[in-house]
This record gives sequence, C-alpha cells and structure tokens, in this order.
Amino acid sequence: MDSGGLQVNEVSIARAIVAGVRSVPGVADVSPGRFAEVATYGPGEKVRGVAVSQAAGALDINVHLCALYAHSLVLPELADRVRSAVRQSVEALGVGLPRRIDVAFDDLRVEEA
Amino acid sequence: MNVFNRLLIILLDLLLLIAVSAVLLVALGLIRPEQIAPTPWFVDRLVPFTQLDPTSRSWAVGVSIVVFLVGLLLLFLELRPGPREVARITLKQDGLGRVTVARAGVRDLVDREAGRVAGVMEVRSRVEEDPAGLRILCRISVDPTGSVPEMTQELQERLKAVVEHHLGRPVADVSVDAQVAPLVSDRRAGRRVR
Repeated sequence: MDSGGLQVNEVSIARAIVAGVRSVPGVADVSPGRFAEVATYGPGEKVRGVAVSQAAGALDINVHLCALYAHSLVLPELADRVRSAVRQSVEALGVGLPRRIDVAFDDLRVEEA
Repeated sequence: MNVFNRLLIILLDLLLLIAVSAVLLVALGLIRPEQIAPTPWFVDRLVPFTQLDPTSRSWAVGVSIVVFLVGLLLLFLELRPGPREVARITLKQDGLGRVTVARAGVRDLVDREAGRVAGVMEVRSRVEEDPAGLRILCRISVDPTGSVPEMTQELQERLKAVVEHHLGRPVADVSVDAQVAPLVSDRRAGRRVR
C-alpha cells in the first residue's frame, strides 16, 4: 500500500494489528477462525487472525479473536476497545484510517486457576 | 420430523409417482400394461385404464398429472436440506462494521453457566436469534433429589442475566426442559457438569 510515499504491505499492517489487539485487556489471543481460516497472505508468509484487504484505496479489516472469560466481560465494549487498538496500530504505520473494522469473537476462553 | 418418518414419506411418495406415471402412460396409450407392470396384480389394476371412454380418459389423465405434480413437490420438499443454523450472532452493526460472536461460543457460555446451578448434572443448549431478542433452549439432566421448579427458575434467571450482560443483547426467552435421565440418547450428547 502506498500512502504519502510510505510503502506498507498488508502483511505488515496485519502484524501491527495483531500486536495491538493482543495488548488489549480482555483479549486472550487472535483466533485463526472457527469455520474457515482468517489470515492475511503475503509472499511466503501469512498472519493468522486478521484479514486485511484493500479496496478502492481504503482498508477493510476483519479481526477474529478469543476473549478472556471474566465476570466483567462485555463483548460489545471489548469490541470497541479492539477497534480502537486497530485504529491506533494502523495510524501508527501512517497508512490512513481503516474504512471498516469487523470484530468476530470465535471463543470465550476460561483461564483455569 | 425424524429421519425414519422422512424416509417413509419419501418411499411412499416414490411408489405414488411410479403408480401414477404408469396410469398416465397407459391412459395415454403410450405403453401397454404388460410392458410396464412387474406383476400380474399390477397389470390387472392398469388394464381398466386402456378401456376408458374419451371423457373418462381425459379425467384420468388430468387427475394423474395433478397427482404426479403434487408427488414431485412433496419429494422436493422432503429431499431438500433443512435450514442451516447461522454460525454467528451479530452483537452490533454500525458504520464501522459488524461485531459478531460464534454461536458455539455462546452455547459454551450457556452450558458453563447452567452447570453452575446446583442440581444440574448435564446440559445441552441451543441459542436462536429472534426479532425480540435471543432465545435460549436448554435441556438439562437434573439431580432427582433437588426441586426441579426451583432449579429451572434459578437457571432461567441466571442464563438471562449472564447472556444479556456478556453479549449486550436482550434475551427474549429461556426455555428449560428438565429430565432425570441422562441426555445420552441425544444426537449431540450433553455436556456433563457434575
């Protein structure tokens, strides 16, 4: 992707998003998808859990994740925090704002004591 | 409708289609009864359709066509696959996109919470979406020494509260089907929680 002379490919964006999403409290991890693999593919590599696609110069992002099950967990609120983290990750790369961020919770993980 | 009933209907419908096709072909004079009927009994049933007057033949052909079409429709309805369960529940949809949760994940949540109610031994749940909200259908195997009405009431209140809290979507209904026997006869065995 070309933005103001900066070259950032989709795999790099996906990698940054995965790192950003993993740092959100309440997120156990990104998920490779429950029914079909969700990933961003590049030459010789892929980033699982995040699908980044570019259409008409805009970024569409689909994030799949496992949430940490806790009494305080409210999925729509967690989704807002995840979207915020995704926006920050993308902005930090200087590639503009995403047009669409879909968040899919594949599982609720219980941390065994 | 269970598989046996469905197979029975399909078999009877196929027999009806074969019989009515034979009647139609014989009534139209396209084939002789001996050429089509596998047994003398069937030949005897078809012979009268070769001796019809023009008015009766028209009626026989018309009725046979209608019955044939109804049989085909019935066969189509019985053979088509049932509606597939949508794998995801939408929690939110706004200008930025969609937030969804896997239905199986919600089912796991319901099973886990149901298992925390004292006296519930096994759980098998289903979650459906409705315009009024989510509908939870829960089959449980219970400890026979406990009070089933109290148990089911606690379960309904608990599941409604937990699902509404975690998913942020209203729960329209929680149906509980309790039994003392284990849920072993079910297609998908229940989750043992005790």
